[in-house]
Amino acid sequence: MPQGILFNIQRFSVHDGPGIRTNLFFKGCPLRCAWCHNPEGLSPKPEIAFLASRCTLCGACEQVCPQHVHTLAGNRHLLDRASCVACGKCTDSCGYGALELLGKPYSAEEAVALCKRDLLFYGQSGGVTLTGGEPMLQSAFAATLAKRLHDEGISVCMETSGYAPRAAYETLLPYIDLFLFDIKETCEASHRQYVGVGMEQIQDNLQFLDESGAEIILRCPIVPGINLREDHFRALCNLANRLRNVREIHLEAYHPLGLSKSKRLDKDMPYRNEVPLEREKLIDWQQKMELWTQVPVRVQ
Amino acid sequence: MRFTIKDEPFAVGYMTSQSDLTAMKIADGFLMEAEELPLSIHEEWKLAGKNIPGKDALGLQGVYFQYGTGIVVQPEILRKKAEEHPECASEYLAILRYFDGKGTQERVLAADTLEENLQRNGQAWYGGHWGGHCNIDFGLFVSEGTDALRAKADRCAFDHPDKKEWYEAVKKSLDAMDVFGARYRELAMTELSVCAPEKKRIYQRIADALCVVPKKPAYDFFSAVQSFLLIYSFDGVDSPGSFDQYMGKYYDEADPLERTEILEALWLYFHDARAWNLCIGGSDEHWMDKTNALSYAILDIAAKTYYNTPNLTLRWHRNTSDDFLRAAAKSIATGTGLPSLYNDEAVCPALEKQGIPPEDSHLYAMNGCNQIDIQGKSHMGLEDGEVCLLKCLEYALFNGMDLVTGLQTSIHTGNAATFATFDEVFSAFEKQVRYAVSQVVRMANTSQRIFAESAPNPLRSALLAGCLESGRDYTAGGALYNHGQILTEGLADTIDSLMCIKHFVFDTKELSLPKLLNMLKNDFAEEEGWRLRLERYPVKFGNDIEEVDALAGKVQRFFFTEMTRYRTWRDPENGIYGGGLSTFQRTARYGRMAGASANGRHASDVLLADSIGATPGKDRNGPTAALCSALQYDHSLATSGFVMQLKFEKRMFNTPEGIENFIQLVKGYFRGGGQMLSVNVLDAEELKDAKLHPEKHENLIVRVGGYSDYFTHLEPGLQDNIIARTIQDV
Repeated sequence: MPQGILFNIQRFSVHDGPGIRTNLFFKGCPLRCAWCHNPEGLSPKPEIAFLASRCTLCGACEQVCPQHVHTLAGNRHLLDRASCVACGKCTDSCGYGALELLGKPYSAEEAVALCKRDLLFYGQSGGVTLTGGEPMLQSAFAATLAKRLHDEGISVCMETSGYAPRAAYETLLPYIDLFLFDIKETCEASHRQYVGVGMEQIQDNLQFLDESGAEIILRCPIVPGINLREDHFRALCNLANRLRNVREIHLEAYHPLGLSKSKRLDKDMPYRNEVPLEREKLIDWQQKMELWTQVPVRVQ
Repeated sequence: MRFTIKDEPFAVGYMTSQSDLTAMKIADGFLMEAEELPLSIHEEWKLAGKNIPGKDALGLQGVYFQYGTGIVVQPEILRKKAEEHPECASEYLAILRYFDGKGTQERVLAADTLEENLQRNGQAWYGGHWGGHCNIDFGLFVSEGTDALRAKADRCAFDHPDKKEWYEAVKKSLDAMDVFGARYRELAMTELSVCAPEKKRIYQRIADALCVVPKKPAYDFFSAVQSFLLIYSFDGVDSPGSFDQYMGKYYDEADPLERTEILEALWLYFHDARAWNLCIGGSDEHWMDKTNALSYAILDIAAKTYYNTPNLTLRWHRNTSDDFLRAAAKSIATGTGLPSLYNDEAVCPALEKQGIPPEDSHLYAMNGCNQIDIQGKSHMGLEDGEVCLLKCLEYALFNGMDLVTGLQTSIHTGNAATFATFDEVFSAFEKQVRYAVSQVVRMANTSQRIFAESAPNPLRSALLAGCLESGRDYTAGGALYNHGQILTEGLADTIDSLMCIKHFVFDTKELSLPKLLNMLKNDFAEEEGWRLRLERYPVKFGNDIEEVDALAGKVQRFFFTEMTRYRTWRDPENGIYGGGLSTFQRTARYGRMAGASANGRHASDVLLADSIGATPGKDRNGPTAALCSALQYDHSLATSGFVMQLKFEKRMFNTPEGIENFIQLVKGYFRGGGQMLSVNVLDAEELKDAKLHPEKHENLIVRVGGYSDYFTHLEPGLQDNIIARTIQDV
């Protein structure tokens, strides 16, 4: 039976697909977007987050850790992340909420059972959204889950970067009611620079899903200094115009909240902008885009 | 004694009454008030209603009657008046001598035994002391008029010749309403002759209406509202109840512009006078929707004025249109928290369990904060008492001793240090709860008797079915239904504490009971590490975790079922005590008087769970999980408000999708059997507080597309971003 690693199960998610949804955050992502807001979703393995502001330097973690990951030196708490096996002993020992284990294995049964706890609230439109990370990095688990949920009559959305083998999408296709398909950049060079890979596979998969009749919403993070450009907005419109099944384009304003998470993981983010992009700016672009495409454009 | 003073009309009317019957003395007090209270008609009210202290010349009274507190005596005011008016001093002092010690609530407190007094002061629990809210039949008053009601009293008196004088008292209190109306009519005529031409319309309308009402039936929307306001204000500004139901037909026929003006004027009165509970929507016994145009108009006006009064409640059921909830969402989004949402599908069956037939259970309305009554037919909103369950647990752990006062206040249930199993702890807790309930009921029943003896209310009795028919005052069980309601506080704190004891003492055995008791006694002095572990132990109520939710259900079922074993003084046969959970400022007082608890809560921390939801800040899995936990309680045992509070960011209400999600959430909870939801908008102040005291706000989740995080985990600068965004939204 396939197991998956999830780093969060977020009930009452209201921004990731229609209605009230339970988000399953899959751990692990093949891309390295400079502005990533879920850095805990990058590594496929469980890891420890450290909230320095809560640490009292009590030393409990240092004592229980078999790998000697934690060292208390003076008034500093150092983590040797390379030796960490994410056994979770330290997080259990910490009474102050300073340590958190991110990423736990779930069987499909467990995950489905958790999703069913909110059946009362899904109604006609809500359901479950597979997101991450990149759910397609654990495509077998994703497929089992999606099929089970589908069989239970629960709507399933999937947010994906599009960067995965075609076969994975072919397997998932019958069980996904709506794809939230990320388009992060429309300029190949910039895509390579800030996302870490080229656009070809992503665009091919998008084309494939569209031709297969999948329902698609394009989710487009807009990041100042990277893709906040007229030609990008125009290209997004052209893309939507070219495809048949794009229901909506969602513009998602950059926010710096991921920086807080990256600090807890000792991860350096290449893009360190602490200023959120104002929604109003995107509303101006939304109005322009509505001249360029018939597909509804929404600012999230 | 002959009185010349005019500023103590109730006392003078009462004292100079020719009758020995208390109800008649009170009716004489009402009549003299109607004859002598200073009147004024405020231009902005555009309606005649009793003046409001502070707003105008309604002076302070040393003795007055209030529906909930009975006769109130304020000796210091009488003494002051005697000093300021030496020529009338003997009159004020005569009143003082006559009424000294005769205040209804004083009598109730004086009846406490020493033991009961200790418990009341220890804020463990209390019973009685308050005569209660009530939804009287305003519709009957407006549509029939006092002439018809007096005729009814005469007819009923025929069957009860021994109660003749009581019926006379009822009629006299109705006369008082006529006198009150006639004096306002004269005043309107006087104003009419002197006012500016553009104001004439207002006074003319009042004078015209008062030619007819309250003696005769109202004939249009204005006369209906005017008639309603006369009795509503005279009676003491309690709870209008299902206003849309009894006013709907007049509203439908009124001129659209004029009716809006009248409604706005009335709402201003409600606001100025701090009206209690007004209810809209709902179903009849066949689940047909009773929502009407006035129900919607009331939501409109609530959204437009964002007054926090009247306490507006909306009744939902299977045939309620989503449009009605959408209109409600608009008002809720203003941040007033109004309307509260009630579920007929849960409330009606709970009432039917108490023997109220469906045709009446569907007439329920709320009064006060969240008490449930059958409008015009019951007297159940007494808030007969309250039990702080957390204090019961404290007594169970300390063998009946109060940790804060150090006194032996409750019964001995064994030395907890020797308890070998969790069941023994729970059993001691049950014994303490059982004792608490028996005490509260005894106190409440004494209080009910004293209220019936010293504060009968013949005016209200005219407007509650059963009273005239039986010849019994509503305080003495005259109404058709006389169930009791006992409320509770700190439910989740109690459950979380029990859970921590179970886990750390008996399951993992990391902590011995003697050590825990010591820590509680010393308020965790030098045990901050343990306190934090208890506080942060994640298996807390409100997170949809089966083990703790099952324990919660067990506690609530036990407590609420225990109450149903008792009967009220007002109806020893059918008056069943039931339970509810309301949110009151009293919660803070209970917190202050409770010792440290096993969920890591410091002694006297005022922050107790004030709804059926989690201990403040501990519902970390979002609203659906919190609601799933709340559904593990048996809502059909709750016959008073069983309040579940939720808070959302304002931005959720800013988009149609957000509002649809909100509606889905409400309907999900209600379909799952939830009784009541109170929804507030998160304000920036709470976020600022969360920055300073993260441990109290661990439930705040920041949600953006594809992203979520706990607010308290964010870096300070990013927290400021969210605060700024919240200010902008509100």
